[in-house]
Amino acid sequence: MVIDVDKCTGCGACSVACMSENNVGVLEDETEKIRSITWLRVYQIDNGKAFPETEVAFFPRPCMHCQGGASGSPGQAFFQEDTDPQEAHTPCVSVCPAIATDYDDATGIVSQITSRCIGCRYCVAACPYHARYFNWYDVPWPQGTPRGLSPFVSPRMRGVVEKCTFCYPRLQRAKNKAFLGGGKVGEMDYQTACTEACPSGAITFGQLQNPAHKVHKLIQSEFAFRLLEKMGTNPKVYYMSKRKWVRMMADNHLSQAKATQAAASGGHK
Amino acid sequence: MDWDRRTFVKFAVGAVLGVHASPLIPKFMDDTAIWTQNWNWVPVPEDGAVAYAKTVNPHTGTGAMAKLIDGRVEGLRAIRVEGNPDHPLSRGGVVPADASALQLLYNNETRVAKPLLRNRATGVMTQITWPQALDLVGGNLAELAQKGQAHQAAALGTDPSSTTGQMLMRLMQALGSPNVAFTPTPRETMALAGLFMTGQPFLGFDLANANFIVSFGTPLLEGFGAPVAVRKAFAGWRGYPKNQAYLVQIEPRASVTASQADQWIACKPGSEGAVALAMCRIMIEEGVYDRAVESAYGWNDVDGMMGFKSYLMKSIDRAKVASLAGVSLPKLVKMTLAFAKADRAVAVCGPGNSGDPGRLYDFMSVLALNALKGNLGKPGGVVAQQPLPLKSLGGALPEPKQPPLAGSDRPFSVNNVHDLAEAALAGKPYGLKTLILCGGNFVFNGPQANLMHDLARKTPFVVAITPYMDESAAMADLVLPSTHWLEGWGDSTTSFGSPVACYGLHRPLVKAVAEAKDAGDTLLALAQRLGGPAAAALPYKNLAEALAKRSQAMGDFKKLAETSYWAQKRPAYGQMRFNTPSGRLELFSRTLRQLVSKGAGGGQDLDKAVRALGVKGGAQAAFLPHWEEPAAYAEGAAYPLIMQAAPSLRTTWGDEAITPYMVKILPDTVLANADKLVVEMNPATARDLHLYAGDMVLVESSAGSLTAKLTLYAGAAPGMVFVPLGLGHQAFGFQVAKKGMNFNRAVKVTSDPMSGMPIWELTGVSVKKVRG
Amino acid sequence: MATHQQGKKQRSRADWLLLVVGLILGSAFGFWITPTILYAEKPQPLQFNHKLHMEQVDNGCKSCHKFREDGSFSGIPGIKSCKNCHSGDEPLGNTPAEKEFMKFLKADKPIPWQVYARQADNVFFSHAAHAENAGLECTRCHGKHGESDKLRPYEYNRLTGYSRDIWGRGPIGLAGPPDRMKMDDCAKCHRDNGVNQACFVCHK
Repeated sequence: MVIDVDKCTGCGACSVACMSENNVGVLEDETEKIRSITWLRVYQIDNGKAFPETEVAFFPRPCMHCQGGASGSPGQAFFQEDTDPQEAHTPCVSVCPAIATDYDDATGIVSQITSRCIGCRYCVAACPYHARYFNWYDVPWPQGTPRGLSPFVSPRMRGVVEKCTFCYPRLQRAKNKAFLGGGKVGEMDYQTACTEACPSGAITFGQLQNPAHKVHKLIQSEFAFRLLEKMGTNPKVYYMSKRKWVRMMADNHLSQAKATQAAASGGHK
Repeated sequence: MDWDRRTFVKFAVGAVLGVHASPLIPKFMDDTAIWTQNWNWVPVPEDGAVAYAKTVNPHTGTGAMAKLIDGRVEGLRAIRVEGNPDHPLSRGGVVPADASALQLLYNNETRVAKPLLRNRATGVMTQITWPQALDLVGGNLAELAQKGQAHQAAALGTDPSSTTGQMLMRLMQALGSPNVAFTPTPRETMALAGLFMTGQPFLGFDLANANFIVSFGTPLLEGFGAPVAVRKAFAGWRGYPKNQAYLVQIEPRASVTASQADQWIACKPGSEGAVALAMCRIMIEEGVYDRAVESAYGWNDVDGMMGFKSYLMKSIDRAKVASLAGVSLPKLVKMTLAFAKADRAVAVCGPGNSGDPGRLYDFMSVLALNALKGNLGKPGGVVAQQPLPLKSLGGALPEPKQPPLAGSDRPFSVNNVHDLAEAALAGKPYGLKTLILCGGNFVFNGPQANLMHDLARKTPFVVAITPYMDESAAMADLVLPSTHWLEGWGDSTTSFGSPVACYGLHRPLVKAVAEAKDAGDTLLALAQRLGGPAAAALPYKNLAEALAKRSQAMGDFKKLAETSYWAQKRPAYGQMRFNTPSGRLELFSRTLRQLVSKGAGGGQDLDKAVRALGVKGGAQAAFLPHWEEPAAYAEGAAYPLIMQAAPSLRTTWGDEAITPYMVKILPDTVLANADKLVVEMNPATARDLHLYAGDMVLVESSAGSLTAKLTLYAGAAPGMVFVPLGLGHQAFGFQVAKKGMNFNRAVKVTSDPMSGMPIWELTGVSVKKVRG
Repeated sequence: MATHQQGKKQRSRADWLLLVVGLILGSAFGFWITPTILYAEKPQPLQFNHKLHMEQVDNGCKSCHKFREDGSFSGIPGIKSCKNCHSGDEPLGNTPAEKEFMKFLKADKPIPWQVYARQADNVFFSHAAHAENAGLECTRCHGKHGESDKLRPYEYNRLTGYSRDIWGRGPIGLAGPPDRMKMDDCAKCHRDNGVNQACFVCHK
């Protein structure tokens, strides 16, 4: 997945489309962000400058579907299968005691099997992107609203962890169609809900290694980068921006002075 | 062999081993494990055949597709709202309000299922039947008509161009009431500006094809026209390694549009129009304007009155405007030259950040700037929309005898809900006895919510036709359930600013909740109940039939309903037709002058008449695009700060309420600590007021107030406070209600000079720290 | 000491038989009680003769249990599918079950079938992958259900609520499909055939 930060207007259509696709519930109080489940959260950052030089940018953050492996430029490390388990690990998968999450080599998707999850939240702590959410409560579906739930994603109960699955059920259904028609799952047959919903086309989705797919070309761009790249998590989500300050902030390139300033300004993150 | 302790132990051990050898224990353990994963209180959505149905969300203008599931047991239901990739304007994109529409559709706790009668004294609602309900309203209206008091019944609607809006107008007119008013929108202001200068009421901006865009204080990316269509254009402007178009945003706050723009020119609030005029003057002085504009009527002086050029030369000094607007002059000049040089440049006006209809003279100034650029009728410029080929619902009806409550003192009037409420509450020239609220949730949406609240409270008989148990329904004496747009018929017309005409039709896709009826059907039933002229004015079986008749020219109705939209193929490029009295572009509007002088003579009288309409510049400026200081500047020392809204597609769109998912994705700079609205202020301003981040503050205007938590944002202009829109509902269930406060309860609505449209872009306020 | 020795009885080896008897009885008890207390029966709303219907249709199971165009599987047909053949007001045959069925048909009411093979909600099972892509026969997992002339009682697990067919009828529950349709069986077959075993292949 490639997200163009310069095209993102922070409207939240991706986030809402994601929630309606994946049967995410709404609690009475959603301002307690640490307990609020949004598989794809849109973060706002600003350049920390005073009026009238201030600028904001938005970072839609789905699960990064980390492959792990040595850090490096997208051209190299990503495409090499790193077989050393010490080197190549997905932060959340490696800590799960219940094997409720795995990394699928065939698709590059990190799964989350909620019914298998024992709710220890080790993965939540391990994820450097805060992409994993724990169900602290059962969802209070208002009367009548379950009628609008999708049968393709199983609703969860309290006490388990959930996260973005790159709309895996959509691939399941696309495969079904391909099996019946004898064809293959093409690039446009499997698109995530957020990609479809984005009104400014900021999200592009496809197979990173497939040269025929748009994302393959996009990640070669000099403007493409990933979040916290130096940690070696090898995420599958790339971002693009022409703005240098945006790219700097994405990998904790904060200077000491800036870091202090950001901490002092509080809320606006 | 004796039966003793030892033998018993042997037997027991054997039995225990035997039980272990049976599946009893492993099976129970296995099932217990499965049981722990068996969450029988979690809903299990039923699978079924998937189908997609195209429709258009009338509130956002988005071409949508409902994803439907036909379950074996539960039947047909909608599970998602997605974008319709075939829709020419929205091309598959959606905004949060579209994507979360089902939360309003399927929430039994907020939908009205049956007609409800409220006891005003106790507030208790009782269910009644439809015939009873229609008898109540019909009886009330018939009685008023009989007594010759039909004008004391008023109806408020959201969109006069929709078929339901047209029905509402015809019903009231046939009844003999001139009082039908609608939500004020920038479409009306644009229509006036367009009519006065070009004779074309439907002007749009060809954003998708422009490569230099200057937006004058209008939130292009937070709420402008059809939000998805604008975003599609925006997507085309961006690119790697270089952007395809240069976007300049002129406004006081580092908003989303300002940040995503290539250049943000931070200006003082309300000075955007002055900046547009300064750009005009710079273009003239630098000689970089389209010479064709010189042949426009009013370029030079006319009839002894000042022409546009003279006005610019006399009143718009570039340096003065730059200092008044607080912008850097060299930057402004550089940007203006780039604008003049660009091959497809457009200047854009529109709704303000607070969602008001915009100021007429600002719109005219921006149109003048476009004329100087010479982009009228050009690709990437200002183009005239083709009028929608819609038929009228019937012949002309006799004009009601009484003058309307609102706007009768103006040379031209746009009947809007605010003016009507103000006049009715003042009893000038008369009060109201019956009020029909047809959608719109006016008690919440206002524009000045306090005023609409008072109107609903003081009018003896209030009827709300609404899908939801909203704030307006809670105050109504009679609540008539109407359908959600996914379960009923309805239509929507071209959105503001669109370069092409676009008609949207939505049809029932899922079964309507309980006894909900299309609002149009309710009006038709009411007309039938009233009989006589009302029934004759609306001779339709149902709304669908009326829609079919109205859209006849768009082809087969069934097909149209399935396609869900009709759109003009491409913008009308080429020489713009000027339907003005002079037959030319009019920088000095003769139309306007004629309208105003109809009531007044020439000379002194004209000046007086113009000043009575709120134009401070007097007759010399009144017919020209010009700039006037916003009323909020003159609020005095008691209200030293200026309040403006910080719009966002996450909080609201149009008259639909915020949905639970939208509440969920609000950042803590909008809603915090469960229920606290958060307002923004520049750190320097806060320091001056001895306020700190996290303080609870009271934001008070002369019309109302709100309390909120303060956050400091460097991107907020000093001397201002920015308030999120669309929060503070008292209705819509536990996920939405009692969160934040309603911006519309603090705004002060003023009257736009000349147009008389209610405007509330800026409100003078004071901000004080309070405990809490 | 002596007294003690005196008190010691001569124990016969037959004592140990008791252990075996206990073992057999305990085991029998376990085998008997397990299904008895775990499973309850629910009647089907109607009787249905698969055999009879199979004789009438051309395309075997797929005549009614169809694939939809998007590759999804329709499962148990709705009342609309029934109407394709049962179109008239009169029953086609003369069984009591059909008379009962006509009531549903006339009221256009869905028949609340109990589904023997219903998996948990979090399971995604692709019929297309198995029946079309891998070419498995329906009987591989569903057994001879299609040849039955009446519906057997639907049994469900009191603890979990799932159908007994999932865990299997066999006493120990080690048999694979068609007797049993547990995740282990899915995984085994996937493993044996070298099919992807990632969680998301079968979970949603």
